[in-house]
Amino acid sequence: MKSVKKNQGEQENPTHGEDTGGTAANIPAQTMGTDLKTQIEQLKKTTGNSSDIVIHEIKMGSKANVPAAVICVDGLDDSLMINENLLEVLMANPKIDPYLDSDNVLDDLMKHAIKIGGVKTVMNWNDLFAELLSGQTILLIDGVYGGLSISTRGGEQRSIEEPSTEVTVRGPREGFTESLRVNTALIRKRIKNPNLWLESYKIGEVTRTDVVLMYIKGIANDKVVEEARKRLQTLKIDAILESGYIEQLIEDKTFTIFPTIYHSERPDVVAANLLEGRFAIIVDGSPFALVAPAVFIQFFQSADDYYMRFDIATAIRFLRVLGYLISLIGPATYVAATTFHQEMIPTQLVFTLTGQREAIPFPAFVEAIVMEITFEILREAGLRLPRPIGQTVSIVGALVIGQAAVQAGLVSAAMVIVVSITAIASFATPSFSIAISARLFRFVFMLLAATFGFYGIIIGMIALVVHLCSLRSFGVPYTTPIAPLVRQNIGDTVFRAPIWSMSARPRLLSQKNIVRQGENQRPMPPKKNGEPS
Amino acid sequence: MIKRQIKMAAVLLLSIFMLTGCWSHKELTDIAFVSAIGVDRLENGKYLVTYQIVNSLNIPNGMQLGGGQGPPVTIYQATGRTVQEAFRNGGQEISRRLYFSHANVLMVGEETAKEGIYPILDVLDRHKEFRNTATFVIARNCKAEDILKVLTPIDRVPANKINKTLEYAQEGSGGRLKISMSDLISDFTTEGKEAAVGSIKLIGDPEKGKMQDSLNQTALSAYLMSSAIGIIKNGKLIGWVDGNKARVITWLLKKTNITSLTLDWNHHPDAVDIRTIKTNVDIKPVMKNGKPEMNIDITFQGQLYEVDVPMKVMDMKVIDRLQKAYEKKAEQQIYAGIRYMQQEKCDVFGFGQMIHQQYPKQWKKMKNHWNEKGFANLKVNVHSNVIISNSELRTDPFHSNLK
Repeated sequence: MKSVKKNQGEQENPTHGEDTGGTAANIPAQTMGTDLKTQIEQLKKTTGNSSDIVIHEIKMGSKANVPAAVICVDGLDDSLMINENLLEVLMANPKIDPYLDSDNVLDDLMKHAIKIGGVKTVMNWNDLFAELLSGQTILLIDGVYGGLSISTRGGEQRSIEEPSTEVTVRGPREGFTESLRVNTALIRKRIKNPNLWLESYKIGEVTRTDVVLMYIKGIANDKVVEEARKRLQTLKIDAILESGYIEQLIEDKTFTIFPTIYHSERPDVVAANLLEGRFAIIVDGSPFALVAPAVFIQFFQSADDYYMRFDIATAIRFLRVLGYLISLIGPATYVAATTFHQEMIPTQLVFTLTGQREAIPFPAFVEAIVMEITFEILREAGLRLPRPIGQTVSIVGALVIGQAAVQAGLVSAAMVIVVSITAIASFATPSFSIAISARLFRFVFMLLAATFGFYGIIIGMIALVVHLCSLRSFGVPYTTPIAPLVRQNIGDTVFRAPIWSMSARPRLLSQKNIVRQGENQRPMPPKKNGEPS
Repeated sequence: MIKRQIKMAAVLLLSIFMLTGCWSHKELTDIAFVSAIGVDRLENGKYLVTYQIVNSLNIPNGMQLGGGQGPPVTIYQATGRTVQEAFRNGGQEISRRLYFSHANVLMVGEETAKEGIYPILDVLDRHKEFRNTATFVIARNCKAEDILKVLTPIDRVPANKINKTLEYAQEGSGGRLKISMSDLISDFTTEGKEAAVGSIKLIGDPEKGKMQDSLNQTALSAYLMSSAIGIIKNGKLIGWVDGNKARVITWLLKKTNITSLTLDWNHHPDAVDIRTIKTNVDIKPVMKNGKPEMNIDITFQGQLYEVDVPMKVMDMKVIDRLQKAYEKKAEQQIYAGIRYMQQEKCDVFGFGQMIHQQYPKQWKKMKNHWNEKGFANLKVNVHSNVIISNSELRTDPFHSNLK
């Protein structure tokens, strides 16, 4: 096997030539030959006579003297299109007779007879199977070397729906689907510019999943795109079933709680990121597009922020960062304050807290851990359970971490409030992948708080910030534009400056095309002498 | 590289254990919150320390409005030859660790204060938990323990009640002082300023005041109220100042904003009441012929609060007359207050400190025997200025329109 990947215009990396064994070796090694019967036999043998591979043997020409075969995968193709546009043309049609006699049957048929866009020749088994299994229809003609691959892709797919993970109040309601073509089209619809370039890859030696690397030439940093290309090309894995596979295989660092690749279900978010100079990776079969290089603050930005006016957007962003901090160190702070630093709690409050805790049999730390774990179990159970039962869980959950637990004297009312605030705060982060980082590290911080008090929390925070600063996403420091400080981009961090003031694109490594808009975009009343401002 | 990182991480993690300065894990249920400390000197020379410990189960909270059954505070007492020894002995009878960070009242009995409070303060000033922002109060006419044993309604923790009473009285009527321990120590160490402290007195039967039952009546059989200002010289309580003279002290210490004065009007005694809502005090020392003088400018901004006789309030001349009358009365009171303190030879106003700051060279000559010579003979010029800005909801009183 030469390569499992099909790289358009790319130099084949010689190390790819080796067969990784197993999966693809089944494909016949010999050339296709010209005899239709052997070809069909080979085909059946290779596919194990699978029932969904439809081999339709026909006789072409007006005299029905040229045996041929139309091969397609049932369910992946558009059978109506095959019937109307292909079979009708090929069978009992005197118009194609002259082409059948020609020396170059395939070329002539392709150019003159077949009224379907996207036809190409396939000259070896590898290509044939690649095309066939991705939904193309193959035409093989007896006595002719090679075959035609005719684009009849179709089949069932989910329609475009509102994305469920990134809900916004204002903004487009379209979300990606599982179909790669639909997804690329959704982006192309938003960026009508020839500089939006797509590079296609087939990754996964068994699954041969279509993967597209998408970027805007001239805006994206060439070095970053080259790095992405390189990482995609070196992938050797049997299957890519979701973009999460790719994310985990190409991310800069595995042993971190922070995601270094952003993912989104929204075409407008991906388009905005492309316009900021990032690249996107779209995987067939997954509605989640990957976007990189990602920076930390990006995970707190929601599409809403840019659609709403800047004042409220800024306020809400502050709220999100606050929510993240609460979900990270909320219970830890409570544990530290009540077991080490009672002097820091206002007098009246500490008396109330003590009054509540008098009857509680556990230390504050145990109480907090038990409650947090209970909440995490509830959250996970709520996700997994079938919808009709889901409600039961929320009712039972309210009992477990609610009034009943307090009345039973197992936990204090204050702890219920702390756990609830933490839980709610963790849902305020727009990106799920950053929210789960806080979800995990909350426990580490609680442990630190229970052993060292605020001192431990501060040590933990310092370690976390140091770790954040050490991260890179495709060569871009994770904490850009705060550290390193990029002054012209600071407007789009925890603040969201007015659109007209954000004239520079985020500086991702060195980049030439950084101007996003003209100067003086600020709306102003017209000047007195009538000139436009 | 990775090995080095692991080593570094291990070193850093281990160093956490060595760097801990706050290895002080204590559950809320393992500590006893001291809300007030009382110190009395017994006849045998030992100190009797009274702890008022908050019984947090009986503090009203959301779960059980009205609190539990028992009293909100419990009293523990211990004796020792020093205050610290009494502290140590106190630990022997309490099941929890005494926790002083929320103690906000330090009360000293009157007799003890007369004998001297210096020996009491250092241990608390040094204590890393006890906050020197706690209010220093003298128990007037009784021992500190008597006051701390009294239960209080509304503000269930008596220490809170003491603090709030003093603060509100100081701010809202004058003549009462709330001084923190750090202010007191600063007064002790500042040249040209003597200390004045607030006091609390017990009205009623002290024995009944200890009982929870005493709270189950509308008119309490024992209660606490703020009392006169105690004057402290050389660490000893030397006397009490009450009434108008005490209010002069809080005025000049810039502690009182709201107060009221009653004026006579056209031979009607106490007919008009003017309430000041803002008081500005400006005190400046000047040197005249090598002798210091104090110029005191005091501005009251007030409202006409009560008029019991017919009056044309809208007439500016009337208001002017009222203002003049008020100014005169206030000046008289201030002169009288200052004169009283001069007779006592105790500069609680801090005039000496102001001269020290303004004229440091001249101060050196007069700082010895400042209270006895300099302050007692200090010339003071008081000028008051009153602005009546409104008369609340009415203009002329209904008395003017009686049929």
